[in-house]
Amino acid sequence: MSQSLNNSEAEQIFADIYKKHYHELCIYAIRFLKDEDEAEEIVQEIIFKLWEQREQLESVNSLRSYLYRSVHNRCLNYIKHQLHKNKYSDKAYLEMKKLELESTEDYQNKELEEKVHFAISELPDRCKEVFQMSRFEGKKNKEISEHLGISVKAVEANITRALSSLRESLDKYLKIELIVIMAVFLRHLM
Amino acid sequence: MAIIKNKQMEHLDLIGKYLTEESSPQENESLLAWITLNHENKQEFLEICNIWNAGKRINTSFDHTKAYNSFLRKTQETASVDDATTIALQPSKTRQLWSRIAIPVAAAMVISFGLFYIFRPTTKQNTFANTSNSVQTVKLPDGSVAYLHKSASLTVPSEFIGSTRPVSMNGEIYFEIAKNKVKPFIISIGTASVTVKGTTFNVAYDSVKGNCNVIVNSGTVVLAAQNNNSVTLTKTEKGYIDIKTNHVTETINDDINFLSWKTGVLVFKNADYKQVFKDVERHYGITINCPSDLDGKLALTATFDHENVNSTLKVIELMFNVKIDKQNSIFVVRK
Repeated sequence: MSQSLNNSEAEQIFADIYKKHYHELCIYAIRFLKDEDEAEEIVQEIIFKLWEQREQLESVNSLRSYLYRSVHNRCLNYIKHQLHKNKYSDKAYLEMKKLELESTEDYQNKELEEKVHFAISELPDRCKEVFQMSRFEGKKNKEISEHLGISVKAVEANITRALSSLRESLDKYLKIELIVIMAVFLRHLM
Repeated sequence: MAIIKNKQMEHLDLIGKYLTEESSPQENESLLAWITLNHENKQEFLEICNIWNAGKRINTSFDHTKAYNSFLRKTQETASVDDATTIALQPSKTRQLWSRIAIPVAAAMVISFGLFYIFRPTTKQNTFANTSNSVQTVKLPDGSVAYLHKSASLTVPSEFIGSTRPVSMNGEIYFEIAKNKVKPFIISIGTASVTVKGTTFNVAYDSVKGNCNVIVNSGTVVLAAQNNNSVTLTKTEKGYIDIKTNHVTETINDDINFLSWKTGVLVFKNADYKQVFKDVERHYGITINCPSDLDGKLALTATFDHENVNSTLKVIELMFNVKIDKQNSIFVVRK
């Protein structure tokens, strides 16, 4: 598309953005923000900013990557701002968040999600309970310890245990995938 | 479960704390040192982050239809503001009422506080009433902060026991609510209520008129009437409730100076004289009499950061090419 968009074209594009990308963009943002409201706010702001500049919107081909890139940058700024606001500057935390942000270029990996979901269901009961409260309900360790009547140390230990166990399950999955690829590859050679 | 050596558990502990945001800066530093040690460590860290993040999305859903509707509303509101030659703003009724409601409110607060105290002897209630002319800052037991405009009052328990964080208030208060997803923060306004989980917003409640304005700065706020009529407000949205009729409405907030009473900063962007005088009146608590035939094409773009009323009016005189004199307690504008 070389000329600028007319209004109805623009409206269609923005309706599509919401239908196709909104949910995924929020999910992407929430990886780094922890909070659903903040994630939605940032995504809404980015789309609205795009709307304000819709006259310059010439190519819709790279729209998706533009949106993800914007969310990426905004999240990073947001985290920086939060750190600044909290007075103590935790440089190491910011550095690690950056690493995380940079490594997640594949926005969608449904298969990995399913594997992770299955692996969570396979965790020992207490371990699963603690992990779910922490990850899905966003509870702090202290709240979990009060709720379950166990020490904060025990909560921490259960989260560590869950992470190491989940990684082990994922390792197997990655290895299997590699074997399958190898097998396909070998068959092509023969 | 595999047998894991203690040495290996150490960094996993740190990653766990980092992901749950329970780690100290020192712990983050030692984790970062471990990550940068070699490529395998970095890979392991990123893998675990990936698992943690992938685990989240399954249980989270975002409503794109609702988001799109909110987007449409916002684009329409902006369009209508752009098209209009003059921006018509609702006159604020609360301002003139401050002095009139202060005494009955204080009395009502004392009585209700007394009754509350008698019937609820177990949880101590604290009432803060701002009788000064400056903004009073109140720290709440959950770490939230309330900024009380003059004549505002706030009643909070000494401790938030139970599954909610209930408070009651009167007048105008800006809230910064500490996040707690499982323990909503509920503000009673007469028979209506404002419910939030962690956000910043301004509430202006006029108990005499029986209406309330809520403007959201960040996060999500639910404004509900007694009959459960409610609106959900997000950033830059404004909710209005008429407590007598239980009528609740939501619009886009076009008042950029709604928080000037707290920040001490007045901002004008291409504002005409009507808007400028209206915001200056509210900000300084003064009355300005202004002829209606001033040049509506002149616009002011300026920031007044903690300026006193006289120096602000000096700038306005120059910008709008008028003279402003104080007659008794009223400021009069002449061409």
